[in-house]
Amino acid sequence: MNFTDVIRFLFPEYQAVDAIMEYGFIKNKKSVYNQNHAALQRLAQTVNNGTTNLNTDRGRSNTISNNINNINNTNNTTNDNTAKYQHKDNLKVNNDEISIKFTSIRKDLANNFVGQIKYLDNLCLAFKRPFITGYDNVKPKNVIIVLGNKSSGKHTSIKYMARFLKERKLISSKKVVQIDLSLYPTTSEFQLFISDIYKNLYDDSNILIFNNFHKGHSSAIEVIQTLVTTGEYTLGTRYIVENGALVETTGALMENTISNISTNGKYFIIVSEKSEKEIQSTFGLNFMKCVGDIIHTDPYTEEELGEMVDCIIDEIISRCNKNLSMDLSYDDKVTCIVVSGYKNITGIAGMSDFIESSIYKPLAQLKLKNNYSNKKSVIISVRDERLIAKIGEDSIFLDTVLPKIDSYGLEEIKNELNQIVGIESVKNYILSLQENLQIQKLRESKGLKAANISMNMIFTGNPGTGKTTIARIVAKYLKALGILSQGQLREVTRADMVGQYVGHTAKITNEVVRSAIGGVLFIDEAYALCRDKEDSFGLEAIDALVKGIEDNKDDLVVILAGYKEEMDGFLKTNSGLKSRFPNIINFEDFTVEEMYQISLITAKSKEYIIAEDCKESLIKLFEKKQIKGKNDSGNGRLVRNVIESAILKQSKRILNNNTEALDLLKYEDFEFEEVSKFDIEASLSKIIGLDTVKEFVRTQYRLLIAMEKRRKAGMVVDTTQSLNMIFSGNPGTGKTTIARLVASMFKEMGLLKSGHLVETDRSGLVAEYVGQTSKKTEEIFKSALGGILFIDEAYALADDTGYGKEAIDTLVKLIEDFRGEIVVILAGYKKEMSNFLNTNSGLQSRFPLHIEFPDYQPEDLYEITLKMIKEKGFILANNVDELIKEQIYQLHKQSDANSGNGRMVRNYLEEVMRKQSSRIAINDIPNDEMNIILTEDIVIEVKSKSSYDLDRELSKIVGQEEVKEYIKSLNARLRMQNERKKLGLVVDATQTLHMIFKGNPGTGKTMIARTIADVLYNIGVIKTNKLVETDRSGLVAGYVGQTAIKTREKIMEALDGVLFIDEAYSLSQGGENDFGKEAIDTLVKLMDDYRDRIIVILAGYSGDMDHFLSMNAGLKSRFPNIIEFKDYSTEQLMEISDLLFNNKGYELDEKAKVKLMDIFNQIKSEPQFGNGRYVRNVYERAVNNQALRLSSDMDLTKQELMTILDTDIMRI
Amino acid sequence: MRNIFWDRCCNIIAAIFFIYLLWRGFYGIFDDVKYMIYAIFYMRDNQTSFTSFDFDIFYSLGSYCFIFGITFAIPILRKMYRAFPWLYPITLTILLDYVIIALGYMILSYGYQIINVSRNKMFFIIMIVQLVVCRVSMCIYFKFKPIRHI
Repeated sequence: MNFTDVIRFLFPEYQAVDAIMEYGFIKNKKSVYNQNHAALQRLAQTVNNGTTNLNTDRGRSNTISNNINNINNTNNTTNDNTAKYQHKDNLKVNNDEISIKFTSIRKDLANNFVGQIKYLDNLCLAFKRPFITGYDNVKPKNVIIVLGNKSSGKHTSIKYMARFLKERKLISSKKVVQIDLSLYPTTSEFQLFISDIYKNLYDDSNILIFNNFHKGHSSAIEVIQTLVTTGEYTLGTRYIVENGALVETTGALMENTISNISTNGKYFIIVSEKSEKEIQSTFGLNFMKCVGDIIHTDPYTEEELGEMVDCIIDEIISRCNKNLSMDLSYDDKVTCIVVSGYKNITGIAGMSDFIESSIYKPLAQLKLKNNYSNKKSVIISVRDERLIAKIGEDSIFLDTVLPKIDSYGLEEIKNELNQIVGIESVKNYILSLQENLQIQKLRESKGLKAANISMNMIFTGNPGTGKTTIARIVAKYLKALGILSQGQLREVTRADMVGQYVGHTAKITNEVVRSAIGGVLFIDEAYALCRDKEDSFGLEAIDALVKGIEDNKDDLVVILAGYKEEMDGFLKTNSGLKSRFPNIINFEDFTVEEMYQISLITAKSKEYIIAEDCKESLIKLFEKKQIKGKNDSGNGRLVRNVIESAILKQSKRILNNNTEALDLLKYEDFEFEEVSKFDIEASLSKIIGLDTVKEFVRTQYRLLIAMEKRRKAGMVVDTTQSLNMIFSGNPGTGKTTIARLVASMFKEMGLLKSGHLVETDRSGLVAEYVGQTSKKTEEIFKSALGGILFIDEAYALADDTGYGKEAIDTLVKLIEDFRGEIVVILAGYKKEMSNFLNTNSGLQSRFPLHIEFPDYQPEDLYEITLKMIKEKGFILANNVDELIKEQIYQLHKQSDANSGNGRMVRNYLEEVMRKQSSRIAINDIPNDEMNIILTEDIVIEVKSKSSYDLDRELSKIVGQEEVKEYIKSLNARLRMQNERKKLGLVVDATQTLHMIFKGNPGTGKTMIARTIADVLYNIGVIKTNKLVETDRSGLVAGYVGQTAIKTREKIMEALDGVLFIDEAYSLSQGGENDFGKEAIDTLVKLMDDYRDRIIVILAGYSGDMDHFLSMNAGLKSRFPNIIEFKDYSTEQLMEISDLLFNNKGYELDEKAKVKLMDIFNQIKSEPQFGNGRYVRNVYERAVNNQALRLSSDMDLTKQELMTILDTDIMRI
Repeated sequence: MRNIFWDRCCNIIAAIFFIYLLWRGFYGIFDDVKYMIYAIFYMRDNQTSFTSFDFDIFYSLGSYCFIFGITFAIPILRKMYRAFPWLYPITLTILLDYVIIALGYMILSYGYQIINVSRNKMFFIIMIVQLVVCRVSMCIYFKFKPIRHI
């Protein structure tokens, strides 16, 4: 390293000086050469490490000259990103020679082709056209459309043409490139297409063929369209060329990018089997205007075909000679038989294949097996329409030589189909395909057009009904009929067709479709492909599938399989789907006999035999499992599972006993449910009371017995009855228990298959969102198939929201659909249920059996109690049963509709048990007495009411003599009525006891109401002594429609007691639209509805109440008892205050009493005087004041603490 | 026609950018370098940090990188490097020099934030080492990858 190098190294800035030296201070064009030169020199230095030789110099000079050319080109089109074409057609063609040259080309073609005279003429004209009309290097030289049947020589003729054109130096290369557009079916392959078309446009070929245009994606078609019409196509993104292919690139700094491709003056040829119209509809009119020639291939005549067959066989002969060392000869009949097999679909290639597979391959096989001498003479001839080879002395039918691999005969497939048990309709449909095909062939032979019928099918049916098996047979059958070329079955599911990211799905689906071409694409559980419109991946798969079906409709059959209902929904997701699947075949569930047949076949296929005595039990087993509407019964698969489990059990059995037959499946190998004789009375004895229910079950049983007798007598009468029931009754009357019992009894009787009970209520049927209810209802309904669906509180479905109605409608429909498979029981209160049934006219007729569950009588309840005690393992001590009986009777007396009947007894019993347990826990009890219930364990529910002393109760109330008098009279009257009732005399039951209490606040209205509740309860007018106290706020709600509900709730709460509405007048004090009126209306209605169960007391100030009653005409008549509460006098007030102070342990001294009296005297005249309540307030203030007074005193005596002084009393 | 007009326009834009902004950039760089060298010596002599002079090295560095960066990125501005073949090596080397010296300056001013002779000396040495190492690295880089003309 010399000094300059060191300086250069240490100061890279020096490179700027180098640049000036190299290019000058300002670059000029002259320096281009220098630039390249310098650059190359540097490159050479880097590569060769400074050493150069002559060769590199030469190479470099070549490169430089190339570079100069390139650079010049670059300078000419500085801003053009069009890719550069390296193989420009620089051939000079003399126009005078064109005609001569093409005439000779036509001759050459004629020498190489059989027939097709018109076609070849047109082809020559098409290729000649640009030489006459002129062309540029931007647009295609000519756009030619070549149409014709498959394998009719379209590509071959073009290849020959290219060769001859090259030979005559009319084009620069004989290469013909092809683009198969079926490789680009989706937009995902667009990049690939661009890369491929670039490669083909920019290579040295002059002819570009596009195949399968109808399978290409529209984006690819658009590129071709644009190239044809404008000569170039602007790419959406920038590309660079890497290894001859286009690679997408980004970045502003990137140089030599390509954003434009052009046709480079090539011949564009579209080759297809489709019609001209389809090309026009795909490419559009503008494209068609640019098309130079549209050429059709000619149909072959018999002679031409014969000539061609001869050519093919000659070729085979030479191959036989060369490879097999056989001297082959044939007679004319061979040609005839090959020609007769010619089909437009397979074309010449089909004939060639036929010759290959039926002559050459069998001969090769024969040569392989036998040691024939060299140059063995073989004569091929025809006998009985079959090819036969005469080799020496032997005559061998050639179709027997090779093992059959490609197809079964049609008859074999039919046999296979007939062996399948059941599904007759499906079989008939499949066999009918052949008939249609025969007619179509007949039409074809008479020159009519063969109608291609869409073979795509939808198989609907439950699992295990043989869909896949049939699909496999269909594939083979269609292949045998010649509809499909391959006959393979490609079985896929959603997972095989749906991708992981956007755009991936279409690609996968296309791959699947492509793999199934020539056969059957079987999509199992197809509905899973797209469950709803939100499933974008599924939709993508369907779209791709629909396109694939359309593109390959000649050689692809798609079968979608799935459950019927799901498939119906699925077909709605894409409107084009249904029209593409005209054949919807429903696979019915197998009948039990068919299943038995299947089980025999299955066993046979596994080399087992089913013992004869299993038949009936197997049929019963299948019958139980085949529940209509339940998709999980499994059908054929169920049979297989049953047989397999039997085989397992049989193996175990044989292990224990080696002498048994190895192939026999005996009765004990199957797990049959042991059916014992059904004893109806034993089952019914579990039910206490409810004679109506028992009678109903007995009737059903008798019906069954009768049916059995008829069956034995060989008579068939349909006595199936609608068993849907309505259970109406109060809670705890045993509805659910009975339903469960009925379910198990029906199962044992054989009326139901599984006999389970699904219990639900409104919430189980009604969903939160619109449209979900029917689904939810259906779901729960189906889960109950084979058993009983028990809908508790069913009347709640008749609500206003509409959802309940939806549930009812669905239910009604389902009941009809699955008649005989299920028993639906609606349960609820009697009155509500009858209202409910009126809401839906269809409902009543579908529930013919109304069973009323009356409330239990005390005897029943007692019996239930004893039964429960027994079931729980307890024993009653002596005399305890009497006590319990008494208590149960007492409970019954106090009970109301909501008490829960049986449930009430259970709760009571549980309490007894708790008490008993705590006794055992505390005391030391001998072991054998631990389950004994003693008298002390019994919970005394209610004290005897005979001790109720009205006078004592009334004496607690100060004053209000008038009211007391009224209550006493009421008490007396009701007592008398009771007495009369006991003696069987007429009693006026219509008498209403609703009351109105008028009076100022604090006059003891609430207190009296409570007393009245007690009185009525003790006389037995009402069942409880509860008093529900409310006012306007407890009845009126804030929103429309809520008031009635709120009022109703309140009244229900007070049922069997007294409802006390304080300040009742406020209900009518609002405006016209006040909800108070709604409350009154509801109140009045419910008062009438529950006349015997509720006493309503309205309370309020005298004036206001009068006004209130005058507002509503119906009100006054309903409240005949109006009781006036007078204000207390001073003495009465003093009495009250004395009572109050004394009760709380205080004493008033004399002065205080005087002061109190003064205060009362003064306050009485005030309008807002609070009567008794005022006294209470005074009392509370006095107690407070006393406490304040005494708080400073540290030494308090009892007397001081008790005494209230006058200073403590204060007016409020 | 349109292309010629557009080319002219681009040339004018490039020329304006070159004359005004790029020269301002160069002037600024030299000014900053001069300033930083002065500051380095000031810190060494006075044993104090120079940060009080309100000089935001990041701001300057960012603005120069931006000015030169857009000339590399925008094709019409890139023309000036084609027109002046020496400009690209000069711009690149000077910008890198600036970055190196700015780094050194930052190291030193960090060291002189605390008055402590040994710390100051240590950071002075670190700065010198950094300058030498960075500069030599740059020299090696350009030795093997000479700056080519755009």
